[in-house]
Amino acid sequence: MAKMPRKAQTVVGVAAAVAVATLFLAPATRSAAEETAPFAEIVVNLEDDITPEALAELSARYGLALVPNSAFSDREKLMRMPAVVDVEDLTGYLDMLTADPRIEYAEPNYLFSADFVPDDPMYGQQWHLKMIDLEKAWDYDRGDGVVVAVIDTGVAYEKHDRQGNVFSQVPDLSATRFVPGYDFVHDDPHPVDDNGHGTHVAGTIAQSTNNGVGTAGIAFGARIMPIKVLSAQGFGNIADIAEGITWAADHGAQVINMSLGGAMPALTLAKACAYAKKKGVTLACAAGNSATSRPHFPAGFDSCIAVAAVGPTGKLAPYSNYGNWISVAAPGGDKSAREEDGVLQNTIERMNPAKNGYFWFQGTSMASPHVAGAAALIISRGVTAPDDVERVLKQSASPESGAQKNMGAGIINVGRAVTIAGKTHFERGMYKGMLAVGLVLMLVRAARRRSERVEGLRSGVFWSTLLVVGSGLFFLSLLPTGWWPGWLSALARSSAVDWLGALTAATQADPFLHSALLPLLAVSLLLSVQRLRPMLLAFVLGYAAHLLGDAFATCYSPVSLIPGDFWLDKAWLAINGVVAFVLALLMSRRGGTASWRMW
Amino acid sequence: MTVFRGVLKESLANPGGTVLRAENGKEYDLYFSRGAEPKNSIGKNVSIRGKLRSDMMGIGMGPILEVERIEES
Repeated sequence: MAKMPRKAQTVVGVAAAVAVATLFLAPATRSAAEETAPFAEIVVNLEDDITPEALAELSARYGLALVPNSAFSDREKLMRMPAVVDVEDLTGYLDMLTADPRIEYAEPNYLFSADFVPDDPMYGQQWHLKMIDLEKAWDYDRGDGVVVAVIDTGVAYEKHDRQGNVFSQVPDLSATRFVPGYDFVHDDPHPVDDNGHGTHVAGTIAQSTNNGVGTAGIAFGARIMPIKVLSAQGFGNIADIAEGITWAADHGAQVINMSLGGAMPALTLAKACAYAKKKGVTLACAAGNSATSRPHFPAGFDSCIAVAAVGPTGKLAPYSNYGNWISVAAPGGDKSAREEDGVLQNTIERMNPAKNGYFWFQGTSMASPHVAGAAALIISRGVTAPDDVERVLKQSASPESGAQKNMGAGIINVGRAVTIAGKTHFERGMYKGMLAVGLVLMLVRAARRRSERVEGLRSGVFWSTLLVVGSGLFFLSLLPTGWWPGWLSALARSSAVDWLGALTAATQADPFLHSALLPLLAVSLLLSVQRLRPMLLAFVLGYAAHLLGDAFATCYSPVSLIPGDFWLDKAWLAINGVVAFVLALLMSRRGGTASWRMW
Repeated sequence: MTVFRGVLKESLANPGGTVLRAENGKEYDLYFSRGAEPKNSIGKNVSIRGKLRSDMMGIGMGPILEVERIEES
């Protein structure tokens, strides 16, 4: 086998070692950082009337290297010094200093990182975004590229003339990205808004943000798919709504928001929701505004996330439906005390598309898009299956607000949600990485039984390829990559098997890419090229690990074109994973080329 | 067609929409398929001749009453 130059091997080897080290160190580093904010100094506040002599004696007695915090610190006698003690000793050390009558208090000089704060001038009035801890989430993700369908009264997203009625885009959606939608009320491809409700909902999800205009949105990197199923008065028939759901699922929506509903569990609607979920779409639905514990639909279907509403105090809004069928709660506003306690976004005036403004709305209609936006951020972190998205939302919700008030898991916390989503993606990646290493060990053991050895295992290229194909650079999901281009972030932390899906924001795995077809093709074309053998073996093994990982993971991994339910998808992945592994076994044998040709 | 009696209210969740708070305590989202919503009747007692539309849903998310005729009572 032709060898790589030693220098290149070293570089690749070091890169692989760094990657593997990050793999194992990252969880510990992260959890420590979460538990304790970093600090390198201790801040000491002295009594205001301390004399220079007393200060010198104090410093000498405890060995303190005190310096004023700034030129303005003299009056308050606020000093700081390097933290030279271990964290374990810190509490006792600080207690000792504070016990001295010349010291008011001593504490760690914590370093605070500045969260991303958008420059939208009305952002300060959006209490509902702060309630869900969004600034922390934005450091990690902005929902880049995720497609969110807004099934509603339409969205004021484009200029359009309908029989003399001129529609235009509201100014604070000017930087928001859209994908084509459909108007089921007028049966045309221009789902513009003639009510105002849908535009408000779309604004909560992805209002143009950090553009110096108006208000902010939750997943402002997401793409909105406007689907109009409700008339200018805000009513629509169940057939149109069901078709809207199916259309969205068939045209690439990853999240659907439905701020609509009724008390009847219509079968047509239930089927459409189940179809969308089977296609990998997360459905966020308003729980209803009748202040009842009776389920409303579509929120009450198993396939949907039912969202109750809270006001600015975090209490269940007086109008909101509630009960054990609720999944989570989110800010929906409560204007019973004042207008500003509603949810603020840019939209058109009621049934007047020629005028727009910033309006405070209230209702579970306003709560649901908070969850849809949160779902887009979670999906953007690499957790894509609807059940997983719902689990992350529930795990991260503020529990103190939950069960006892019939608000499901409680009020969503998007900051925590993106962190948990990152960890979930990390754990799945690590699981696939370990599976890949396990397959390598099985290969080595099989070779030993034949008194052979597997070639290329010392090559950095082998391990790098195994990592990229088997699991991707999954450890990146723990890092705050909100400022990266979304596509780059998605590619980097995805396995090479999933690259096409990551780029196209697919909700289902491609059945050909998620089969042994590509490894078979690669081997049949490249096996005779000796120089590529380690890379090829790692490619096939990585593929096997990835497919088997998806097959045996607890999460649902829907594969398109595979009929039936969960188990057929899993069987497809498992069978193809085994085929890929057998292929690796064959090519690792001495004279692997001949074995392969015979096979 | 059925006759519903009650008081007209502004819809809480469908800005600009109208709700009937019926004498039995139930609230209905009013769907005016044949004309404009009677804005100046908010707060007044009315008698509505119409039918419930279980095949429809809306922003308000309450039961939908399609209005055939509305009269102040």
